Amino acid sequence: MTGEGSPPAAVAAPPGPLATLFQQALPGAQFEIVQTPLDETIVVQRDDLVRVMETACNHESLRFDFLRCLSGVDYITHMEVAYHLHSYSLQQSVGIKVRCPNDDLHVPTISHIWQAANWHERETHEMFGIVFDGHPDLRPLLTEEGLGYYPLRKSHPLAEIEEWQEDYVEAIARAKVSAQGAAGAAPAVDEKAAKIALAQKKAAAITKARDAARAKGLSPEDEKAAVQAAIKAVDEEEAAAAPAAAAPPPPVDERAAKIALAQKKAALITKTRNEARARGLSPEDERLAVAEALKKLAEEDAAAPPAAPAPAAAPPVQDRAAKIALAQKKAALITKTRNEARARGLSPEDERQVVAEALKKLAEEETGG
Amino acid sequence: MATDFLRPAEHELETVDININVGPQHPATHGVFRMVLTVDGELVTDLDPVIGYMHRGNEKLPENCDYRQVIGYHDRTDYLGQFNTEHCYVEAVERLGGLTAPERAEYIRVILAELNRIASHLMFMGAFGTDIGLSGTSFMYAFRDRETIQDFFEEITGERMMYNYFRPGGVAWDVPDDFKERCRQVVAAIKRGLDDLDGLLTKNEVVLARCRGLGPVSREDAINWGITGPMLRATGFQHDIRKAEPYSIYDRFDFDVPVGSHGDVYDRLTVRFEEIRQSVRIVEQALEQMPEGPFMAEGMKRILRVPPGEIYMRVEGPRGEYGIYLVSTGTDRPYRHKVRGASFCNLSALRAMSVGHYVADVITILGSIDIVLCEVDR
Amino acid sequence: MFLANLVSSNPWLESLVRLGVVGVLLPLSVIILSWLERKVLGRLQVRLGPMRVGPYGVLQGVADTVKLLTKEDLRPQTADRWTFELAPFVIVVPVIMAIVALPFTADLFVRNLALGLFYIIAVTSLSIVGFVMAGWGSDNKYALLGGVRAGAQLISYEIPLVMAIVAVAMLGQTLNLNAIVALQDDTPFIAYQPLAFLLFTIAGLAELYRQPFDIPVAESEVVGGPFVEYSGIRWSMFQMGEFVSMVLISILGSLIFLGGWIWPFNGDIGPLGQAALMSVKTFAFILFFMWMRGSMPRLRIDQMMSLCWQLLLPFAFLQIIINGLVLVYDWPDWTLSVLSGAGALAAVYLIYRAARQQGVTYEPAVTGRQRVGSVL
Repeated sequence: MTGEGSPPAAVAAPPGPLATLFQQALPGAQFEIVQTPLDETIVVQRDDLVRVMETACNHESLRFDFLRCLSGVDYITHMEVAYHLHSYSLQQSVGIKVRCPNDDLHVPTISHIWQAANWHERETHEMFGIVFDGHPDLRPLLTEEGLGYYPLRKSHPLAEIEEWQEDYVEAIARAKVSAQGAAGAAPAVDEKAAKIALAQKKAAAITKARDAARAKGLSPEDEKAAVQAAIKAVDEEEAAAAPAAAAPPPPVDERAAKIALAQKKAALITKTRNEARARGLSPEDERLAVAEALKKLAEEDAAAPPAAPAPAAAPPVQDRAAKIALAQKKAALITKTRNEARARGLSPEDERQVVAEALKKLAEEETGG
Repeated sequence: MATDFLRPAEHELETVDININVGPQHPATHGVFRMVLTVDGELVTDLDPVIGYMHRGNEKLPENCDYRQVIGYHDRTDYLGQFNTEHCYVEAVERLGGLTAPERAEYIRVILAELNRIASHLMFMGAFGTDIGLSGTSFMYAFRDRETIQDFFEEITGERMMYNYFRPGGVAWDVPDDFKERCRQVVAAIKRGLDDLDGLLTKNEVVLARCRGLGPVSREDAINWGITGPMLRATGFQHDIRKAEPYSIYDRFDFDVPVGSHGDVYDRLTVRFEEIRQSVRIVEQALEQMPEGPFMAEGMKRILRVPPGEIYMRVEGPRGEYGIYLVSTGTDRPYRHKVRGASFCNLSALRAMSVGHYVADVITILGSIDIVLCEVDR
Repeated sequence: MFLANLVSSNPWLESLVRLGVVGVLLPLSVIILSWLERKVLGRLQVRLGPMRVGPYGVLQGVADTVKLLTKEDLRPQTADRWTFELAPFVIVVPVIMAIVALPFTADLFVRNLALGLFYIIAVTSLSIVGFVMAGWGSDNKYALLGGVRAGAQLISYEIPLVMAIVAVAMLGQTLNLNAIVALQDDTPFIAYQPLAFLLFTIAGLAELYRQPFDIPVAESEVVGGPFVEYSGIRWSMFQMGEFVSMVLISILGSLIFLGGWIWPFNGDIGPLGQAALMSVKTFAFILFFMWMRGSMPRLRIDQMMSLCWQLLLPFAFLQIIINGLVLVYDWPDWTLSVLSGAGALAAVYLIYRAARQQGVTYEPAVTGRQRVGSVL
């Protein structure tokens, strides 16, 4: 769901009775009123929060003695903390919200007013990374310490079930490798192998030197000295051989092209999907739109002159688009046949058979065409 | 010197408190909950509750599901009050989306939610008896009656635990034809069995000795800690969301809100017993009033889109206020979906309630909170 | 007949046979009792109990025994080896030693000791060491807590138990169990000593660490206490110790309070009749213990201690003083019954009142020590 959605339309509502009470109790503070189906909700300034909350708890016409709920919301452009208060004595409920920008996720704590806020704030802290200034004990509550990421933020990916997700991850991994290759550094694998070889060489030298020393009947100190001399000799040998070995591998053109294509594809998918969601399409329609966009891209690539850097990568893509189209065709056929079969009142076994036959026919048509 | 022992002040033993991990694998922690007890002999001098072993991202997952798929996740938060949680969620979606469920569906929901409350309280009775040392007798007594309720739910929903039956705009399918008849049987069985359990627990001398005056919470503290439900009512504070802010059709029924007087463990026990009796009253009234008709609202779309907006919906669950903060951006999926579990807030007061008591009492106090770890960790 | 003569003429052979009878009967009774306990508990809890192994599950005890004997005997790596491995023996051996001096009928006993009562009390007290050893040797905090609890509880309740027995010994003017039984041919001692009987039953229940006194092994608190690290045969030895001491307390109670094999038929019912009579009385005790287990929650440790030291012990002394007065001034027997009965009623009333005490809200002894950082 990354990148999706925008804050709910903040319809400026006329102040309800509770908001009026708040305004009377706090003449200086700025309020923005949002009407929700159940409770009045007031957006307050971050600097006013503690003052507002203390007033809400203690003022005689407000007396919100019960903190129902405290939740963080990630609106991508900013974060929001929503407090839901209830007054047992006056039987009234209100929601209070406070916004903080992404680069300054600090909200003053209210756990000194309501003890109930203690665990809620700890949880919101670990889930969203919002720091509650002045909280007595902001250890993580549900997750382990030092998790390093904030699970409920929109930027934290939830594994997506859509099929092209694997492509995307692969493309990123390959891009990383190629970036290293382009920078001219020796491949990591080679370096490691070289290190291992050196270590083995050294070990062999040490063993040899030690055995020789023992055979000669040297004292332990002398033996140690002999071994160190052997290690030094190996090191010198290596240093002499090094300049000859170090030569950067040629850049891999083909691979870079493939990566570029994959990145292009990934960007297209994200764009199309966002557009589809913005238009309010259903998941099926969304998927269809994405598939179409991919097909178009593949056609464009194929039509482009062969001087393009990815002659090898294009055919699989085209192939894939065709495959997807075929699969969709098949799926439509299956649905149609099954519905027809059901309409005719066939038994599940017969239905299955009818579907299989239809599929067979389609396959024959494909090969024939 | 021979008389050294006469001067203990100089030769006093140096003692240290020890830490004991109670949980996550322990018979008394009702799931995977851990308390780090610092004990001085038998006295608990400090307690650090450690939760999160059951954390499954139940608030994140619904952000990728459409509005009907989310219902299943609610069964898995409070897994003893499933219908109550589902009720909260469908009410939230209906109020946000401007839907109304037909009368019959509302009655079905109320009956099932109240029976579910009874089942949950029976579970509490059983587990609590085991916590204070009854070797399973209370469990068996309570489960005998809970089983009839579970069988009844299974007949309706096809499931024994994760019902997934309520839908925005109604219920998934109509109840069987013999619904009223079977429901009356279940209610009769509960009424019969409850007196046995009452005699075993609330009138037992050892239970009286153990639970009277144990872990008292004052009304002000309870409200400040955000304690709700039977634990709040045990302090003598008469508040029930079904009465105070009636949702669904609860304003049509005549029932009382039982309260305790001391806020101790014994009051929590008796309040729950009385709540079972009140729930039975509600079910009986609902059965009489229940109309025929459709079980699902007309013209429900296959893909449910909720207009942009937000709502904090709350219901009275078996453990207290179960709330959902739902934010919609107009798509077919919730944008933010926060669950306020009653046990989460009730459990946060555990340390304040139990420091200074004996180890055995801490177990009893924990049992009296009636936690459901899936609701705490989500 | 010849065999009987041979056995009775040779004291060594005779002892061997008697020991053999005890050695066979004891494990057998443990197997039967473990089945019976599960069955009785099952019926109390509206279920059937074991039903699979044999008709009505009667072979369940055998199956359990085979399972326990063949299970792996584990020892934690950090356990104190000798303490850990010896603890089960220290618990079981004294109990079996006590059984040796306990007559079951007029003929069925191993040794008739002149100081039988004294010997039994002296030997059974040794088991406490085993609990503390198991608790300490396991290197487990639950076990340690349980072992200390066991030490505190068993030592405390030893005293009212002994005092109740002493009251009986005063009345019988002997410590020989056979002689005490013989004295009860027309009236069992429970009629003269209801208070001592009450104390004996409560203290006996506590000595057996069964509900409501199962504080040392509390499942929901210390997860089995001293036994938490044991498995296989060593665990089953603890179980055996528990059941054998249950038999021991039950037989002792029926001997010194319920008239043993003498009352009510004056002993003229033959050896089998005597055995049947004794079985009925013993099982009355055993079923009472099982009933308590099914219907009573656990007391808290301070309640358990104050019940012992503030209630049972003073009443035990009261019983001894009553006995002394009656014996010294040679009052009629019924005064003993009346005085002791009044004492018993008073004790029951006090327990009832203590349990029903209206909400005494006690303050936490330690008020919130502030925690800095995590203990982890």
